[in-house]
Formats: sequence, structure tokens, C-alpha cells
Amino acid sequence: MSENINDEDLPGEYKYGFNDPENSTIRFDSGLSEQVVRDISELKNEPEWMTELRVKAYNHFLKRPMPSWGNTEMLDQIDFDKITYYLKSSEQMENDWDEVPADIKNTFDRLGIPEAEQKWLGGVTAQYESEAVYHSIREDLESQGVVFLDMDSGLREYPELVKEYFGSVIPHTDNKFSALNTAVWSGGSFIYVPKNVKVEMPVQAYFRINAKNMGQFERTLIIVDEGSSINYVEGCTAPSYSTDSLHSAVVELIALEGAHIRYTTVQNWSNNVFNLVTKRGVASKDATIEWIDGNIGSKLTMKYPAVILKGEGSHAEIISVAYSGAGQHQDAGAKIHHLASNTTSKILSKSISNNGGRSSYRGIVSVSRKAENCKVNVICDALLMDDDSRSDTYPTMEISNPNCKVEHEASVSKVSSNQLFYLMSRGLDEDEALAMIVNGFFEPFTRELPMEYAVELNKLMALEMEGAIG
Amino acid sequence: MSSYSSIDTPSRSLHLWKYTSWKRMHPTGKLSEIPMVTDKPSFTLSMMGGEELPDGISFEKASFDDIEKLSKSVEFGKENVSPVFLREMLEKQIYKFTVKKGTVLKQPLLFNGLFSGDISGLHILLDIGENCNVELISRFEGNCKWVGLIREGIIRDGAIFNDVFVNSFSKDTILLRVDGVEISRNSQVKSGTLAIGGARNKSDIRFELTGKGSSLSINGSALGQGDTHEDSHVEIVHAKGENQSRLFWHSVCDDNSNSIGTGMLKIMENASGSDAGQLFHNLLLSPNAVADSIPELEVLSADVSAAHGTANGPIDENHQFYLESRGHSKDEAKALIVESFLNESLLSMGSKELVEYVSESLVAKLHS
Repeated sequence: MSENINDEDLPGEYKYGFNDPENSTIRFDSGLSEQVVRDISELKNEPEWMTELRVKAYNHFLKRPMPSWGNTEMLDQIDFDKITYYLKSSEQMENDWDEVPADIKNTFDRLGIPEAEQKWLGGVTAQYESEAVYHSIREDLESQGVVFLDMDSGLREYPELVKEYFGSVIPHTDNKFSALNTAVWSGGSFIYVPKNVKVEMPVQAYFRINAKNMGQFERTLIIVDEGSSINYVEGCTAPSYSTDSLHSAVVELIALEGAHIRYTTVQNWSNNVFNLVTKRGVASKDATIEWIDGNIGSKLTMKYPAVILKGEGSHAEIISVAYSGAGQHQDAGAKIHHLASNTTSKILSKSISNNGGRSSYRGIVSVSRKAENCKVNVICDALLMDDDSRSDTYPTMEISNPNCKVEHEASVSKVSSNQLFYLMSRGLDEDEALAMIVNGFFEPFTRELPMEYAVELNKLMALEMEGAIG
Repeated sequence: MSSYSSIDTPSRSLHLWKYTSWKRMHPTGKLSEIPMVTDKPSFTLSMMGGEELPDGISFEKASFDDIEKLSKSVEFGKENVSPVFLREMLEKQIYKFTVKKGTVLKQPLLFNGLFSGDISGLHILLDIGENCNVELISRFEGNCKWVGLIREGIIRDGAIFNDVFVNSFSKDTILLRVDGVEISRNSQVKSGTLAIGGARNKSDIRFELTGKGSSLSINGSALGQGDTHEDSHVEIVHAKGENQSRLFWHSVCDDNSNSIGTGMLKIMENASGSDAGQLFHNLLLSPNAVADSIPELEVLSADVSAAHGTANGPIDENHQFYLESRGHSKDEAKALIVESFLNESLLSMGSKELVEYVSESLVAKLHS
């Protein structure tokens, strides 16, 4: 197997920018049509309702205009006709690591996936291009009735459950990209945790785009039954090409009464990937949904994890960090809708813009008329490293109940010269001092990550910050 | 130059028009037309103490030259239909308020505008001269069904200018208000709004700090009662550095009222040393009232301090209890809290006379 490192005019040192030669078993021609949508469905041997839903979503995608907000200049660069909507690199999904094709295995070995699985994960799904290539779950979890499958297998094995919940939180009419995802989705995770089962070890999905001009449209559905909990971690990387790829996922979370879902993302796509993702959860009575969302890579990210607090006493927490370097725009944020009484929520957003990058926080908090005694706290902090960079904050508060307390605060500043001076007077050089300040700034996020992710993120930020001052 | 007919109807996806559509603000609802002004307003300008107007102050019909120099002082953006519409509709109602260079007044000026009939309005150009020190209270009242007000102009180097806008229209009036003012270097500007009248008000207030060393303080108090709909957009642009700006906006939302506060704070490239803050506070008194806040920040320069915040909540139980324990009835305690909440943002607006006038206007409304 040969290995290529692409450095075609792309900025930065991106550790995961290597690629493998493309050895696809099935590759659709680029471009999107109803036939492509039907072909994907036929290939997967899906039930008719799913085929029809895909076609309906495709027609909605055609009708729906591109967003008129956000970075429309970058969005206009997406050429939907040049994207490959389905590419399969492996004959079948394996649950034995040794059976995974060598080139793909090598990629995930380099990303540390099997090692992590042995050490600290309850289950793993690895998705390469359009399909999951490897999947495993610990036996003890399986014996407790925990279902952790790739989405295609989920549809085959649990059709009733999937039919009930698929698109129930994010319908295909939600936005243009959720319509696109519904039309051409492939892969992703399907999780069901039965009543009163606490999944102590995190389960992980790892998404890798390898081919040029690839579109990855995974679909994830997590249903956690009453009194249960799960911690789901996902990571994303892609090679650095000079042409663009599109990642447009849809993630739906359903937390039933008293359930707890934590969904952690560390997105580190290369700087040629458009990352346009819709993520939303619904929390029933006394349930908790947490989005821990890190955006480090991609060319343009537009992602606003959302929670609908529909059950009394439910709670939402969204911690989001973003780093924007040269040529990047991280348009991230959070949305929380309080529909029930005694619900609480907290949003903490942190961003760093460096070397001409742009970070935007875009969020909404709404409290409905019937939602009594809600409490909301929103904090957005931004660090600007230089005059070429940019930071925006677009929060919206819609309050329709008088007995709630809603607080929002945001600040934009540069790294304090006093902090730098203090650390340098203790013997650190400027880069080390800056990396320490930046890691401290991101600390509310990193402390929520599994340790391995946190260590990697700190190293990555230290690398990104080299030479950021002076 | 864009004309009203060349502008598309603004989309509801733009946050400026998200909560109050252009159709709701247009005088007739027929969006393609610019209706005629049916009734001219009457107005007076006087010194608050009753003295004669000093030489340095004038209010007169604007000349073509004045319009060229003072109109469009601030860029509103292509999508913004209101200033273009108002300029065209009020082209025969343009007046210039001039404060000559070096004019210093010991008393505030009082401008009284009375509007009646169906459709009325006024276009005022502001020319605030260098190194002057002037306070202006503009009170707008009457039972006109639809009023358009646009104020544009420039505050020149070193000027100290405190300006309070009192909306005291009748409960049926629809008001479309646009302010666009450029602030030159080393100026100190305070701009206040007391919104205690009207049925549906949409304000678009914009200031651009184009010189260094200036400070701008925007203070607003809005009383939402009955079915009032108060939509205020405040935009501050730091085009140059070493400036300070602050925005404090307090809204009381009672009955079925709807209060919307949107702010945009832009710190442009090369505006290093800018210090800016925005705060929106909403006091919710009724289960049917709604308060929406969108305080936005766009920062394109690194060496700055920029912050914003919003807080929404009911009356603090401790405050209520304290007042009731001092012998006030529940309603009296609530009224006192509302009064002080609305007064708070206007107390620092300027001289004792100016603050007293504004407070008395507020109290009169609350007790009416």
C-alpha cells in the first residue's frame, strides 16, 4: 500500500492529512439525481417507506434555497454536481479487526482507533467514506440489551424502532442539508439503550473521508430509554486535498424519562471539508442531554447542536469550542427550546480566531409561554489573536414567560499581556505561555473529554498557536 | 443610488425584520406605493427655561446643499428599506437643526412635535458644531395614525451633545423611526429614548464613530403595556479606534405587549483600542408578554474590549418584599419597582433639568 501526503497549497500542519489510494468496490458517478437516491436505497435493500422518504427529501432539497445567512460566500462554493454521493470501500462490515481491508485498517491504526477500543471504549464504529467498515460492542453491554449498530444494520434489524423515530426530531423539511442527508444518508450509528441500563464506558464512532470530492452523509439515531445513560464520542478526520468535500450529517437524540445522553464531538476535518451538520435532541421528563462539541478543523462549519426540553424538569447543557485558523470559518453555536416548566439549561461557548480565521457564535434560547420557572445561562467568550481575524456573536433570546430567569453574557478580547508576562516571568517562552493560556481558555471543554482526547487536543492547540504572537 | 422602487421587500430571515415585517410598518400595507403625507406636523423649538433661543441655534427648512451634506451620513445597508422609504416620502418635510460651533447652553432645548391626521412625518438633519455643549429633548406626540421620523446628520469634533427622544404618541399611533448619526473625533454623545407611547413602534438607531477619542452612551427605556409592540434596533459601528460606546436598554413588558431589542456592535478593522458594551434588561410582568433580545457582536480587530449581555426575569421577590415590609401595598411596590427600573437607564443622561423632565414624563405616564 502506498501513502500520499497532499500539500497542494494547503495551510497548516494537519496530522491526519494523509490519504490512501482509492480502492472502491462501488463508486457512484458524481452528481445527484432521483435515480442516484433510488440506487442508494436499492443497493441497501431498504424497505419501501425509506425509499419514498429519500425521494421526498430529495425533492425538498431541490426546492429549498441555500441559506441566506451565515457565510453565503463560502456556501456558494459548494458544487453539488461534483460531489460523489456514495462510495463503498469494503465488501462488508467486519466485527473482527483483522478482517478489515489492509489499507483501511492501516488508516484507522494510525488514528489510534483499535488501541482506544481496547483501553477505554464500550464499543466502536468506524466509518470509511459512505459505509461502516468495522463495528464492535462489548459483550456485557450486548447482553444487557444495548443495541449499538451502524444505521444501515439498525434499519434492517430494528425496522419498527427506526421507523418510529427516524426523522422525528429532525424532519427532512427542517433545512436544506437535513433534506440532502435524508435523501442520500449512508452509515452513522443506531443506538438503543433499554430501561435502567447505565453504559459506563463511552462508545465511539470514527468518521473518515478518504476520497476527493466525497460527500459523507451519515445518519445517527440514539434512543435512550427511561432511567438509562450513555456517553457517545465521535471523531472526524479527512485528507488534505485542494478540492472540497462535504460532510453533512444528521444526528437525532431521544432521551426518555430520566435518561442521560452525552454526545461528544471532536471535529478535526481537514481544511477542505464543508461541515454542515444538523444535531438535535429531545429531552423528556427529568432527562438530560449534553452536547460537548469541539470544532477544530474544516473549511466552513455550520453546526448548532440543539435540545428541545419538552419534559418537566429536563436539563440541557451545551459546551462548544471552536478554533479558526487561516481560511477557516467556524459558524457554531447552540439552540435550546424550553417547552416545559422547571427546565434548566446552560450554554458555554468559547472560540479562538487566529491567523485570519473567523469564528461565529450563533444561538437561540426560547422559553415558551407555558414553561414556568425555567433558568437559562449563556456565556460566550472569544479570543482574537490578530487584526486579520474576526469574531462574531449572534445570540437570540425569545422569552414568553415572566417567571423565568435568562442570562446571557458575551465578551471578545485578546490574550492579556499581563497573563503572558506573568507566565514568561516564570520561565516559559512566549509560545509555551500562549499555549498554556489557550489551553486554560478551552479547559471547561477539555475537562469534559475522555482523557486521551483532551491530551490530543491540548497538543493540537499548542501546535496551532506557535508563532501566533509577535 | 437606490430608490424605494428598486429595493426588494426585506426578508423575514433578516433579524432586522424578523419580528416586525415591513408590511406591518408600511403606512398602507400596499408595499409598492409611497403614500403622500396627509397632514403636516406642527412643532416648536424653545429653551426649557422659557428664554429666547440663542444665536447659535436654528431650526429651518433644509437647503439642497444641507441635504447633500448631512443626509446619508451613516450607511444603512442595501437591504434596509426604512431610511430610503422615509427620505422619499418626506422629501418636502426636511428641516435642519443647527448648533453652531462653540455654542454652550446652560438649559436643555425642548423640541415639541405634534402629529395628527392619517399619515405624517418629519425628516430632521442634525448639524452639531465643533466644541459645542448642548442638550436637546425631542418630544413627539399626537394622535396621528402613522408617523415617520428620520433624523440624520453629524456631530462634529469635540462636541458634547445629549439628546433624548420621547415617544409620547397616542395609543393608536404607528411609528417608524430611523436615526443615522456620524460622530466625529473627541466628541461625547449621549442618546436616550423614552418609549411610553404608540401602538406599534419600530426604531432603527445607528451611530458610526468615525473619529478617535469619542464616547457614546445609548440609553433606552421602553414601557410595554396593553397590546404595544416595541421593536428597537440599535447599531453602533466603531470605524476608528480608541472610542468607547455603551448601550443600556431597559424594557418593561406588561399585559400583551411585545418588546424586541436587537443590537449590532461592529468593531471594524483598524479600530484597535475600542471599548464597547451592550446590555439589554427585560422585566416581564405578565404571562402574555413577550421579550426578544438579539445583541450581536462583530469584531474585526484584535486589541479591543467588547462585551454584551442580556437578562430577562420577573420582579425580584426580595425587592417586592422589602417595599411591602415598608408599608406599600403589592401594587404600589410593583409600580415603584417598574418606575425605578425604567428610570435607571436614563438617570445618567445629562443635566438635572433634563433628567427631571424625562423622569416626570415617565411618572406621568405610569400614573395616567
